[in-house]
Amino acid sequence: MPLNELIKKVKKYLKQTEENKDIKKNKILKVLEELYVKKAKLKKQKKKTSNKSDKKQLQNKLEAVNQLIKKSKKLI
Amino acid sequence: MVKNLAIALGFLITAYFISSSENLKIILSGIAIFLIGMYFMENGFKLFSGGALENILKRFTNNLFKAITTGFLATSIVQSSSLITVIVISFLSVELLTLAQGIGIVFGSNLGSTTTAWIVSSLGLKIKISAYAMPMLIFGVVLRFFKNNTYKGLGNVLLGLGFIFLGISYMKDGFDTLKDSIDLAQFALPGIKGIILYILIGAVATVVIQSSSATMAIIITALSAGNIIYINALALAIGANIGTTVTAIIGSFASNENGKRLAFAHLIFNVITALVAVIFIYSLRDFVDYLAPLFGIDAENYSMKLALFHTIFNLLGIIIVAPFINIIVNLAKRIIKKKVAKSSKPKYLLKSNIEIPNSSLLSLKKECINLYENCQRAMLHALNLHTTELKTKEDLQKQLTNEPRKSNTNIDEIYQTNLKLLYNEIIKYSSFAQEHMTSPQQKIAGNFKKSATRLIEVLKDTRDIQKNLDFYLKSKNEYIKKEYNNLREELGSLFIDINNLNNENLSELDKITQIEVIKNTLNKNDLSNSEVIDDLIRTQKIKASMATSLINDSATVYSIQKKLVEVAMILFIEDELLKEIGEENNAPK
Repeated sequence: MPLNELIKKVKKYLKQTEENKDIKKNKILKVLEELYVKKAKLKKQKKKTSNKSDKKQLQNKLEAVNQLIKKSKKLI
Repeated sequence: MVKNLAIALGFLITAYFISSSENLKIILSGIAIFLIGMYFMENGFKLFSGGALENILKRFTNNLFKAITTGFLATSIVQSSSLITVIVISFLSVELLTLAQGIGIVFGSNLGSTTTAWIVSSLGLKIKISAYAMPMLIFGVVLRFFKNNTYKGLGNVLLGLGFIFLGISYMKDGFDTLKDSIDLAQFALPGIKGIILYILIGAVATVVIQSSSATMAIIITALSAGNIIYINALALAIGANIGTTVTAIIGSFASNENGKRLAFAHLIFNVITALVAVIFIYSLRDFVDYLAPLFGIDAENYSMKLALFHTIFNLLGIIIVAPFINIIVNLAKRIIKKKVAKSSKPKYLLKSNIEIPNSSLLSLKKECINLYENCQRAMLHALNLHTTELKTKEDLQKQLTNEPRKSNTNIDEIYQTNLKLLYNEIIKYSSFAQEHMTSPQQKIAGNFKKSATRLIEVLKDTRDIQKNLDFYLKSKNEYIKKEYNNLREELGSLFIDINNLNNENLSELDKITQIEVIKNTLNKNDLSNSEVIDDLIRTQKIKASMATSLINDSATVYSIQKKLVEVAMILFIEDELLKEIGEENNAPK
């Protein structure tokens, strides 16, 4: 393979990788957005409910969502 | 109902005979003692050989002659063709032996079982063997007190031999005195009618007693006491050979197709041998008369001549049937087809879509979920939980409060008969399908394969904790019982949570959140387990042996749970990015 073509291919690959990274980043941001919405909803539900076991379940879910937010941020 | 009535009737008839005739009581006691002896011998050799018998059967069977010789020698030593047949059936089911090798061993074993007749006719009748029985019984019982399996096995063998000798002695005494009160020889039937009748009697007696060796012992003792005539005794011996196939057939009902094929081959062999023996019965009798002096047997020693006849016609059977062993194998395979259990059949792996990546990925996913459901059913049964009544956590609590019964779930058997084929098919299908996939698709297919492997690992892990679980759930120590019940609860609860993920109405985000909740619960459970165990040991509520079992089993349960979460992530989360987020380590960078 001539050097010119090889350079072109590498450039194309790097561009694609960059683009893919951008796509992934955008997707993660979308997921993060959804997670924040979910977090807000759960907080609201938790405030409303008076049942102890329901409250505990919602707290568990909140913790899980918080962890997912942290994990998502790490991937950006 | 009919079975119970037949048993009750059998007991009544036996009780009547025992009470009406002293001699019959002695003979029947002899048979009973003989059978107990066989039982002890068989058990003793199982313990005593410590796997040596299995090694011999595995190693020295690579050609037909070796297989027959090994079967002959092993049965001659162990004195139980049924023990050898049981080992052969177990080897066939795990494909350690081919069917042809197995049949070879059983043919040899048939010949080996004729040595019983030699022992009874040469030792049992000539010398007062009951005199040897007593020391054997005494030493046998003493050896059984040892903890070492070799000594225990030797004790059982001695006890078995002692009981066999004692049984023969009782039978001999019974027949001797019976002859003085009733002349059974008057019922002797000459000619072909007599032969057929006595073949039938021999066969029925063997089916009832479930041992051709015991029937032969009865025939020989009755013959030596003069209760039956020689030609009828020969017919009875042929009948015993046919009757013994029924025992093998009944035994094969519980086995897989290979066991049934073996029983079929055994039947073919014995029927052909019996036919030849019946057709040439007079020629064979003359041949035995000719050979007897060469073996140093007197012309009047009918019991030893019967033993010689028994060996010759079984040997003749081998010579006639063995060259056609491959035909018998093919016939057996054609008649008894491999039965595939419903759950082992793949439901979604279609050959037609193997080249269409998206479609084959869906097939793989569905089949893995099918495997998950089957594994789950087996695991819950092993944990003494019932799948059909386990939809919510309330159902689980209800089941946990019930007193657990001993679980009869044999996970190895379920794996071999129901799940191995399904697992194999998933691996095979995905390997072929991956050829037509892009790199990301190949990764997804690879993950499905991984989930199937994890499921099988989880199934085997469950088998490892099953024994302790059964044991400690019955324990009188409430603390250990509670801890093992907690392990059941953790696993049952996890299955309910994972099953809830298999819901199309649930969003992917909800599913991944639920998995995160499960992961957090697992981590908390694992930590609390170790603290609880420490506390129980410190306060001496459980013994050290209980603690080590609990620590090991808790670790296994934790590993099962982690693997199941991994499987849930692969099977129930479709979005690859969400999977990646879920798999990300939570520790700060």
